[in-house]
Amino acid sequence: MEKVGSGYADYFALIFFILCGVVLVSSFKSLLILFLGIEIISIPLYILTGSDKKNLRSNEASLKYFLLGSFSTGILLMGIALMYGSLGTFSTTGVNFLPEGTKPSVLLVAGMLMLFFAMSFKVSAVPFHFWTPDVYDGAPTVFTSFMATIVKAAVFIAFIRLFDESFGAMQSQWQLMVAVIITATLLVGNITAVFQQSVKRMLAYSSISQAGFMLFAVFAMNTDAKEGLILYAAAYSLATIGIFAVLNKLSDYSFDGFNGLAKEQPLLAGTAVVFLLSLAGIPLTAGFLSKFYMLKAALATGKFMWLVIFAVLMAAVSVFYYFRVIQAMYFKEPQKPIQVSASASFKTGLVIVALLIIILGINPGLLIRWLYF
Amino acid sequence: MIPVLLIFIPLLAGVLTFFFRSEKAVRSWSLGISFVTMAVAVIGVTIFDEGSPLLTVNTPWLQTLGSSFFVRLDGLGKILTLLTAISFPVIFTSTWSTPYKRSNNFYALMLLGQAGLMGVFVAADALLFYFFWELALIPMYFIASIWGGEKRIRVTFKFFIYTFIGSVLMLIGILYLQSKTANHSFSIQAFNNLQLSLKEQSWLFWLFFIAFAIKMPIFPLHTWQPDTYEQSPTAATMVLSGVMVKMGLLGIIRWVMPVMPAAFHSWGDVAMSLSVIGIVYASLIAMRQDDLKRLIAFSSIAHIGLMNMALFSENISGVQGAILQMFNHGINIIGLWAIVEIIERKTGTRKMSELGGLAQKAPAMAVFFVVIALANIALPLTNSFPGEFLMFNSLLTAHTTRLYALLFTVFAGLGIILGAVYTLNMIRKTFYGETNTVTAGVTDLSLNEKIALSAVVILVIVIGVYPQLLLDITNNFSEMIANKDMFRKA
Amino acid sequence: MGGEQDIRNMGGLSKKLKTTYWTFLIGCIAIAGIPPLSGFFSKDAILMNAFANSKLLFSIAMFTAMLTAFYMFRLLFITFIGKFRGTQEQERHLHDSPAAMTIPLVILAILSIFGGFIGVPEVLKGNNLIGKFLLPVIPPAQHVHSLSHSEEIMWMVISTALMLGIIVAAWFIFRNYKRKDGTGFGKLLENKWYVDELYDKVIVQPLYRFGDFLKNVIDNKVVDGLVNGVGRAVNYGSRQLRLLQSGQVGAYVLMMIIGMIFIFVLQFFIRK
Repeated sequence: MEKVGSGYADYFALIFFILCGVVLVSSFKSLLILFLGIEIISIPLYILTGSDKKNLRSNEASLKYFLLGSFSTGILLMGIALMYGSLGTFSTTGVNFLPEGTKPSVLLVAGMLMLFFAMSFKVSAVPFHFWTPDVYDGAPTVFTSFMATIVKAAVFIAFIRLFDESFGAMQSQWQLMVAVIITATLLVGNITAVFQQSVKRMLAYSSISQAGFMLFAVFAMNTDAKEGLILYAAAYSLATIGIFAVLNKLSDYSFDGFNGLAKEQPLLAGTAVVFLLSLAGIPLTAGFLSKFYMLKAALATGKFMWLVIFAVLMAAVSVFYYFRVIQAMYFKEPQKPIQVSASASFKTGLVIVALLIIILGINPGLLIRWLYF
Repeated sequence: MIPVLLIFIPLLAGVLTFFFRSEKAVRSWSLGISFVTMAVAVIGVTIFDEGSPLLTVNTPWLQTLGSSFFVRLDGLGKILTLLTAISFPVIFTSTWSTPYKRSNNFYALMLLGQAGLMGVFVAADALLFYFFWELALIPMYFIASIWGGEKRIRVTFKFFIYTFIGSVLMLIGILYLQSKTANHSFSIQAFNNLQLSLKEQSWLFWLFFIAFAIKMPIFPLHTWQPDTYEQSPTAATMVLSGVMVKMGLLGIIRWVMPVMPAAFHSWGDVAMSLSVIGIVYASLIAMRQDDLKRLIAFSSIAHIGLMNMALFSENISGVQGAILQMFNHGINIIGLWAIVEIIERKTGTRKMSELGGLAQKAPAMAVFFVVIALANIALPLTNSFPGEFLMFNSLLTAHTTRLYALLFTVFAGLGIILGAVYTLNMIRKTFYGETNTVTAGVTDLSLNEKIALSAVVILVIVIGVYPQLLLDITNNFSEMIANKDMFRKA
Repeated sequence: MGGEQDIRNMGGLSKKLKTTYWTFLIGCIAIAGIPPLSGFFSKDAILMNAFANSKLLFSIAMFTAMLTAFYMFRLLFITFIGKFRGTQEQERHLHDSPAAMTIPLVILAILSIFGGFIGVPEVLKGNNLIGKFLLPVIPPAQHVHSLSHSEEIMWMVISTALMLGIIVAAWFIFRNYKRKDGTGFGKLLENKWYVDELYDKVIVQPLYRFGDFLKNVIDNKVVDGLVNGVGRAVNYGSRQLRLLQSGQVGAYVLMMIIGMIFIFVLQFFIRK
């Protein structure tokens, strides 16, 4: 964090605000609280994105994020308003959204779609993902990792709560739509990541494609899906924090910047391999099991077989860009000497994260049991 | 107990190997471990009581998912673990004098790869099978990419992506099967008891078959193979071609034949056509190769294609022949690679056009090479002969159930003839004729190379003379597979 | 002879390679079928059976047997009789093979002298041991036309006489062999009817060309090309999709709205 500049205290305060918002969105019972939570998360993030004040890219990213974010806020509000119009309440529980034998009103479906768009924006699903690469790239790496992990996981939990508790009865209405969004997200996220030259930008696109996988939980909406989403969020967050931490130590964020890292810093490279394997979904890592849960959940619905096959093919594409980093670290010679200083505590942290990923990959029960407390 | 040991001895030893510093210690340690593993595998093979608790381990693991750590040594598992266990000492001995940078990492990855292979061969739980399937791949990918030839990064990456696509497709198949089982279990028995419609079986068949066909490889999914074999360090090539391609065949025998028999039968003609095209195609290309490694790579495609065909003829002699041949092919090709490696180390080239007259300079090497090469074309009294005999026998009897079996057999036979052509050509160009500047300074084999190759040649001849030794081990298993298959079709 | 195998460069070797010469001579006599060497009995058995069944087959067999006798003795005479036609250098080094090779030769020669006695036909009051040995596997043929003993003896004498005649003829033709290249039919024969060349042209070369075609065109361009093509398509798609990320907020909003409209349309108008 030392790289970011002055105003330590401000950043911590903002981060705590965000955590407050995270609590709100993951436990809301009313659409208004959801809205409040999302805004409490978003506004400090706009500031954090631009916290590197002397860096033009950081400022630009902040402004873009703010503009697009306001746009999505507008859509969210619009959706809530439409919902209120058709139901007469903000509450998400205890309301019968779709009484037996009736067709949902156009107002209700439109409201639901609006909410869906707004949530898709927050989890950066295509075509609402455009802010992600620019913001992730422009923001200071620490905050990028924060955004990509904790915030994203929280929004996903809100997403699944909303669609499970509120719109669960209307599943047939939105399942196809989710499938379309998943397809687009996986396609754009993975394919675009292939050609990136900067690892940071690649990770931004990878976060889009990972979101595509997480959307499977919304798509399937069964026990496996919910268990899987928790595991996925944990696995993805751990791996992403880890890889961003390694990235943060390097001066050059391009793929070539990783060349020969294995010789200079075997420990950093070794843990980075674990993180990347987990992101790519290779067995014995948490990333594999979480993808596994998602596919299992989607298959259990018995519909959209093509979607599952498409998803695994895209997973194979993702291997392509994740492994480029491994190739750079292990199989290539450094072009210029890498100056990396990593303290012992930093290394210990990395090892702990890597171990957690492997432990979750071997025994996910440890985490999933928590769900049933 | 034994299957667990087979996995964990190399696994733990491999992890420890990363921390070794002295190169000499690493080599001796790895060789020692590989001998220990071999001893355990031999003990496993000698236990004939199939209910013995020594051969089966089933402990809970990932219960929420319905998976358990279920490993078992059946006839097929015995043969393949034995092959793996024999291969590694031979590989380590024959490449004893090949220098590797950071050899501790090299040997550690080799041992981890061995653990993964053992896991694949003994897993009786589909999820566990998938785990080991990937685990065997990753160490080999690293070895090939770090210690390989010039174009290694591109080539091995292609190999990795290729096999990864196959394996994720297989994962979908596994998940689907699991969702159909009564108690949501991944165990092989649960899969075997499934009753699926032909339509379901058909696309499941393709999900699995593509994964296995990439691994074997079957035409037209073979293009990773010659490049990868060429670019990998020879020790890794030996593992890839000697042992790893057997994973695909094992997959067919264990996970496709008994689970989706109807689709196996009805799509068999397509699979057999692809195999037979592969046999002739690969043999013709092998005939025109100048690079020894590429030649052997293509010959391997042809051989594997024949084994796959034998399986699709759906009778016991096909299964028996294919399993026997899996073992033999592994032994023979490791021997061939070992000699190619020695030639390359001594002369600096693998091009047949630059070699010649090696028999004058290295008579012992020539003798070993000729014996193994003749075994490769299944001369009587060598190990491949009974295997190929059984396979052709099965193909000829298959015409009662398959319309085109006779046609396929004729073309497969043509492939065998072409095999003789390119193998003899290879011997002639490499070992006979005049020596030249490249080959004039070659010295004969060193002691360790002689030991390793003698082991190969002894196996070649012992199995050639007395194949019953191995056939007895797999007899019950093959009968079960072949009969279940027949039974399900009716 | 230092690797030389061309008999046109030999001649007169009988003086230097004594053991070889004698064993070779015995072999030739046996093959030509002169009694009482082993070749006589086997050839006789075949010829007699052929005679009993078909006169045409018998004639062909007889003719080829004569040819055999002719070329074997031609080989013998050219190689061992006459003058040495090789280089001086070679001549100086001529010597018999070491014992490891001559002993087997002698044993084989002895066998070809006496080996025939295990299968002496009945007509010569012999006890046909071979016939009995093979009895469990090959039952004796039921002769349709059996030969009378007198006929059989007559043919034996005739064939032996013919063989001797052939040998004498060969002696006169080849004892002073001079090297000269064959012409016409001789040339055709010298090149083994050009069968090797025919194989090469009709089978080997086309197969090689086909192999080259598969290797260079089909495998490298088509099959592997398809595989790499998938990779290239992904790369190309990546480069194009990347352009969507223009950095213009206005463009982003536009595309989001297009996406929303698309989903609205899908939801309300297309979906059933």
